[in-house]
Amino acid sequence: MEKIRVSFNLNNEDVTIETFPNKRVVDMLREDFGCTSVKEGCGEGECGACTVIRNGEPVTSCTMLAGQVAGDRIVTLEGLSKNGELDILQKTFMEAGAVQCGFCTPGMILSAKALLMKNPHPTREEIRRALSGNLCRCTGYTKIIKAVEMAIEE
Amino acid sequence: MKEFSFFSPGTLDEALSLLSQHKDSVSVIAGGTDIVLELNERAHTAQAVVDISKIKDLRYVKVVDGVVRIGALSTFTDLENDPYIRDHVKSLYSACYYVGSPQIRNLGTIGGNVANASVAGDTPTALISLDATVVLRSAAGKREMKITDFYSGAGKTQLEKDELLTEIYFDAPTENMATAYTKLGKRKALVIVVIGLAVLLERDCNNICSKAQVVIGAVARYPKRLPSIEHYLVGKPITKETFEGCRDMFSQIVYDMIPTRASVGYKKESVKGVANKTFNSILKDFSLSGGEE
Repeated sequence: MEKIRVSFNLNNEDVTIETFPNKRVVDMLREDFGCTSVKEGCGEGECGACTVIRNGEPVTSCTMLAGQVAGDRIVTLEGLSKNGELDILQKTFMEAGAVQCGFCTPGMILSAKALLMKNPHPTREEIRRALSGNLCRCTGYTKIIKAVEMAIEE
Repeated sequence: MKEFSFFSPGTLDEALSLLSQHKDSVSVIAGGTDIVLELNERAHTAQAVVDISKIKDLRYVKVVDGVVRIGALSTFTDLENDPYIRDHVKSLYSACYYVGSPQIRNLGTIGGNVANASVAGDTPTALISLDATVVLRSAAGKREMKITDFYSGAGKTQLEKDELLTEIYFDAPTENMATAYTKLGKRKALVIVVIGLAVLLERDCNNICSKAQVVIGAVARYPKRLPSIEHYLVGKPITKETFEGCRDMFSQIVYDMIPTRASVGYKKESVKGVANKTFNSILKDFSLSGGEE
């Protein structure tokens, strides 16, 4: 199979890779770029664990082929912290106790981040809808919503 | 995933020429939310995959001369955020609003939803109630047909392997019309539709129903117009009483469609609530629009 060349921006850095066209974005990010915050849960676009921010919008990277991100701006959890300083959402998720097993957390934070980038003061209902594509089987969501609300306040 | 060659054309002409070259074994992906899964599960084994998501010209919503034209690559999010669709085509707005999850709505396209012809698609039900037309293009030319003719059975469409669905259009609803779509599912997000009901009603200056287009989705193998309900509504005043008068008809229709299906007991009862919700939305829209009392 012939490889394809894909150029895109990953966490504020322009990157180019030669990869097989039948690779999904989730696999490319984990295997070729070491972005292991991107988790594969269901592999069907249902659970949101593989969420990344693409051109400002959250998307499921398990339903995308590598070649589809050509020219796009992709942000993973690795791209949120700056010079070792955690993003405000990462801090409030810890403070609120919004993390238990942690598997859903990267996708959860990225969905919240994409919301706050567009709408810095969302209502609780808007937060709930923005996170409705991210499943968490531990927390019951209350503390996750609280963490997002704490980040809004700061 | 099986091996394939991957193409990502930037223009429609380029895409159509790739399709005609590879028509013997090709998969088209736009959002990819259905097809990438099929490729991954090896249900699809196309030798060529053509990703049309980079064709910017196919992503638009415009209203020209009383016709709403939607580019096939408009995502559910695009449509939900479009002020015209939100304010004037509530059935389509609601159908898009409740698709999957934010992530899926950011990727999935209306063209893909129509072309993939899933039994549980949300937008086809709304588009049939709007009497929409689909535009199909190939390197050889262009053809148009009503969306009802486009569907030829469960999962089957008139789309040829070298054709792309490029546009969906329908007459813009007038001020005397109201539309609504109700999705019944097991929860609010990430839900496969159990019943989808889309309605377009037109009234005359005496508040008498002059046109009714009613479509039920996810019950039969593909969304169906309900002529008996439409016939009942036309000529009657648009009131709660009129709507209540056809609730039992909905039950009977659902029963007749799927008499032996295990879900029939649930669906024939719940369809009454779905109809109620849909017609309430229509009533609300008519009084809000400041028309005849």
